[in-house]
Amino acid sequence: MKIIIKKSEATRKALKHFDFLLRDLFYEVADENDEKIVYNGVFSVEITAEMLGMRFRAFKKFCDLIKVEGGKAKRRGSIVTIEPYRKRVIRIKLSEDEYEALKKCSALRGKTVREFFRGALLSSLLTRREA
Amino acid sequence: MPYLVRVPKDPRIEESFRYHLKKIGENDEYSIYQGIVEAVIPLKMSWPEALEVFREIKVEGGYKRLPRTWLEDGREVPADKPTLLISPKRSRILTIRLSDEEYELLREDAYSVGWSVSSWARHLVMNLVWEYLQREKFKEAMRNLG
Repeated sequence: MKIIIKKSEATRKALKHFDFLLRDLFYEVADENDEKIVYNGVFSVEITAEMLGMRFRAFKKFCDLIKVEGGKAKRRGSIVTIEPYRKRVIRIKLSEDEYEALKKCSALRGKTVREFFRGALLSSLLTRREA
Repeated sequence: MPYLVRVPKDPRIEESFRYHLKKIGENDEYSIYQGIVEAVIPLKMSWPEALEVFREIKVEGGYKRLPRTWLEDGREVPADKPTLLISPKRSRILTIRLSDEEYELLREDAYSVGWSVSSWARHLVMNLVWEYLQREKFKEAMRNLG
């Protein structure tokens, strides 16, 4: 997935925070010039206005500058989620006990079973990559 | 539902089994073990002996398997050392959507440890789930103690 951001003087500070967050998720700069920065990465990203130290209006404008190739950027209030298109489907067989445990865990976190499974899978892959 | 495993009495087998499954009964010939989650049990014996033991093991409410190793190119070959895999019957199917890059990452990771993609995904997540539930259980016990 490629994240393309137009550079502007008004968002220079926020871009710094944004860059820091993406690098934390193993995103790499694929191309950079005076007009834009292109990041290349794998994982989905969720960023809030607070994380970038921005007010709502400025954050809204900043989100308009984000373009995604091979994925989509969706803003809901002061949270923007950038996620890749998910075309691959894997089927996982679970026993009743395993499913119940998974259901219990996802309920504790306030997520659906699928959301929780994908989140847990990607976070453990990320941890393994870090190690 | 927990699964039951009937294994022939042998000190080497008992040595391997006692760390992975709970013993619930025995007689002169067999021992009965009980388990809930998948157990990977290394058999400390040669391949011919392991195959003989494998034939004698009976599992109720689950499956027994001699796991194989997945190579980088996706081929399946026998594992280096005899290892027994006992898993519960899995009747639930969960479908997960992943992007191409996420799938590639998972596939590379799974093949690097010699597992299939879906079993490796299940293994990673269920490990987290058991850990999380254990922690919750511990927290609750501490709360009850006051």
